Amino acid sequence: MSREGLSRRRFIAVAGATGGAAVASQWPFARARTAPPRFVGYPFTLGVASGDPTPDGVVLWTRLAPAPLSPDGGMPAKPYPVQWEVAKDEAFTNVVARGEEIAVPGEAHSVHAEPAGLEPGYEYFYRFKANGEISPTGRTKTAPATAASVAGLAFAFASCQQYEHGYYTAYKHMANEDLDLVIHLGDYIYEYDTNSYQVSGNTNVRGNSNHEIVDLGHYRERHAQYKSDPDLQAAHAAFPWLVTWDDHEVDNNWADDIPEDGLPLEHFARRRRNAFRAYWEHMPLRKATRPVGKDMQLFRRAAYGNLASFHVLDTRQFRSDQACGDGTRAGCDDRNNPARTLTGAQQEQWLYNGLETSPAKWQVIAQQVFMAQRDATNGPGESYSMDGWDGYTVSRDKLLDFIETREIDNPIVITGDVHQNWANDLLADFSNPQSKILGSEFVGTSISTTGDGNDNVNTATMAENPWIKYNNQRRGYVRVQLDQNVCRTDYRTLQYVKRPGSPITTHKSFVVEAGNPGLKDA
Amino acid sequence: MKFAIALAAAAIAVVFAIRADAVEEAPDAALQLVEIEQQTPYLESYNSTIAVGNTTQSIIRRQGNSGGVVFSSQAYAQFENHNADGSRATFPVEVEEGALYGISIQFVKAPTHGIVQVAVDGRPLGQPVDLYAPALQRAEPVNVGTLALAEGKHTFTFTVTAKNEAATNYFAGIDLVILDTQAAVQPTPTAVATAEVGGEVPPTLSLTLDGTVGFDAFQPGVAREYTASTDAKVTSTAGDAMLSIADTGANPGHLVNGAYSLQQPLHARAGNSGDFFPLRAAPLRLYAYSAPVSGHSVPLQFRQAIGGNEPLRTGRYAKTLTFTLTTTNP
Repeated sequence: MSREGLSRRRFIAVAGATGGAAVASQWPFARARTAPPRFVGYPFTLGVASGDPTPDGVVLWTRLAPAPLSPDGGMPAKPYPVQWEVAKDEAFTNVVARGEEIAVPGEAHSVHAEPAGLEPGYEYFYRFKANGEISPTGRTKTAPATAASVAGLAFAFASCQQYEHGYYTAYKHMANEDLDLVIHLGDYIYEYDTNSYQVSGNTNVRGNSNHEIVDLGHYRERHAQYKSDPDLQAAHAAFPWLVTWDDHEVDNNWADDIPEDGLPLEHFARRRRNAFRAYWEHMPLRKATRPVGKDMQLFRRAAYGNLASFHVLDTRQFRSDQACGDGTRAGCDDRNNPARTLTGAQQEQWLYNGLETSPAKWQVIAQQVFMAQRDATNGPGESYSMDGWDGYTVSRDKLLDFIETREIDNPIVITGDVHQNWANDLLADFSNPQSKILGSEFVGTSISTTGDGNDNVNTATMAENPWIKYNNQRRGYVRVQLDQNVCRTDYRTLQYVKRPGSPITTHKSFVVEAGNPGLKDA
Repeated sequence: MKFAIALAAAAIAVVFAIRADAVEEAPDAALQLVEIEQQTPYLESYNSTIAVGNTTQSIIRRQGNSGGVVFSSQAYAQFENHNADGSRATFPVEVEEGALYGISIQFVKAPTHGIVQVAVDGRPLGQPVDLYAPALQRAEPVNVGTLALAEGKHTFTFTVTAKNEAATNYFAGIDLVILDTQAAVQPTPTAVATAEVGGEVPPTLSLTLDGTVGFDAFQPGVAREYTASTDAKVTSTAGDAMLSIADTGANPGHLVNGAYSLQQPLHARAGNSGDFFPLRAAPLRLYAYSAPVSGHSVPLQFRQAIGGNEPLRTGRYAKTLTFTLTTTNP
């Protein structure tokens, strides 16, 4: 699946009609109407990105940051124009869209351009210009037409990239895959000060600014530091991304208005607002998702013709506080309290509506925390993580019941958070391992969090929870290939991340057959 | 050096003039010395707990004077990297004043040292530098390049890319980073020539204007848009280049005739289609190159609108316009 050049990528096979106006031009950036004020330095130190593809557009992102690690990015407190253009070729001889955005200090001089009128299922190249400098070229791809019959698509999903714990070699390899889309399931940054979150043996290999991030400037600096990584930049520049957050974008295990620790609620509300703003500023998200106050609309859908619908969840912003004081608990009845919710009622209904009305073959639920039941106590007795769906059993039961009773075909859940690879079948009743399989959950390991990992297999947990079919503790990501018959999943793993340069291998592959739920060895 | 093209109209006459513009004054000199071992290497390979000699991980540590060799501020940063895997040592550096800097690195050479590539904010700067020497020594500063750096925090990354056959390991030593505006290579900013002069151009950027630019005679009492055109020929060996036009004369953007000026601004565009843009004192960026070109011909078109009731004074309405071809990536 490796590629040798951007131009050799395959396109999504699309049988539907295509449209979109081409505006060929040989005058790159000639439409600048004013001579913008200048500032000192190269502005594109954080690279470029694209995201949230639709059949006729995509979000193009960059941020002007000539001094990337400064809270203001080294930019004067003034607005600056940024030109962008989209072409069908890497040399930009066939430009099909261009425009100008004003990057303002209140948004960290970030740019979220939204070209429209592009052709569905098509590969494009984009770049920005500001301060007399031209950005690196990004490559992106629109989604297929809404009614298109789509033969296949490939995507990868990733999560958990603690910078101090290792290098982003996984992204270096991901950038060489042949993908239509990347999905990030959260923990894009970590909020800690240097070395307060250590890998085993206290051997962190990189460092942060030496304070836990709370202020807006802190969050901006941390995002910029992560974005300074060349491998992460390469993966962003190679594919459109769908992103969602988990906890560390704000604070470990936060739940709606509740912080992990004893921070006063009014202060946490400000912290959450700062974190949301910085997250939006640094992600290829649409302008419509810009946070309002301390709220941000992040759950959303991406449709890939008749092949796949991606339902991207936000299981942090609307959840009830973790039951029984969080952690892994035994005998916690409150986790079964019907008044408690993981998604919030509005998002839950939105998900149900989307599952029921989607015309696509595969329903991909992209979310954060472990959905399948996972009893952490070996043998007699039970204990569960209060942070995952096990801590919100009513939310899980309602969702699985909806899938069963409404006959939602081919649900695939993709999950991050736990820094290990797992593969689980989702059962109608986890108290009966023989009950009906409704779908499958693929839990992806971390990009770097907890360091190199090892080849141990948690056989005890698998024995305790027989719907869990696979466990691996190396770093990497998961590659998924969908067609009208099969969902194939490849667990891509690295030998190490505490040094750069690890090779990558496929440790395990599964297939799920359309119309025949359940994991099968590939 | 800048020349200029004069664009004029009245009794049909259009005159090219030559004007030598003063070179912009150099800003005040800025010099910043950065003791790299005093920067917290918080981005890469930082681990204070790893024992020296650990061959699986790389660390950065402060190394004092040794063997009679004295370093700037009595110490340098030693990057103890045992691996041929492209390990990086990154340091945050607070640039005190935004400016165009010549960047020099005072490395430390030793028998254990490899070949190092410098990058600033992720962009490679200069060529790899071989830090091998038969004995420990403080090297003379190496000018690795010129960069415009904004005030604020930047990353300086040192990547060991390879090693000399004689070197016994992949270490690196960095003593001092010198940011000096006076050592900056000023970008070859402009190369402008009139049609008549031609030829007299710097080696890397050249701009030649062909032909005569002339509007029809302006007729009082007739509302009309007048157009005129010429071609610019551009040769550039730069990575990118921008062709701009500016009117820095009195009443910028308007053709003048003594104390009289036309009511509507002169407009210009590059190419035979697209919008015209009004001229003004600030440069109007007409055409961007993202790659070198040789003898590329760019049509330059001008448009002047005159109203039916607009009073016109006998004589010549004219303006000297300055075309510049600039690059930030010579």
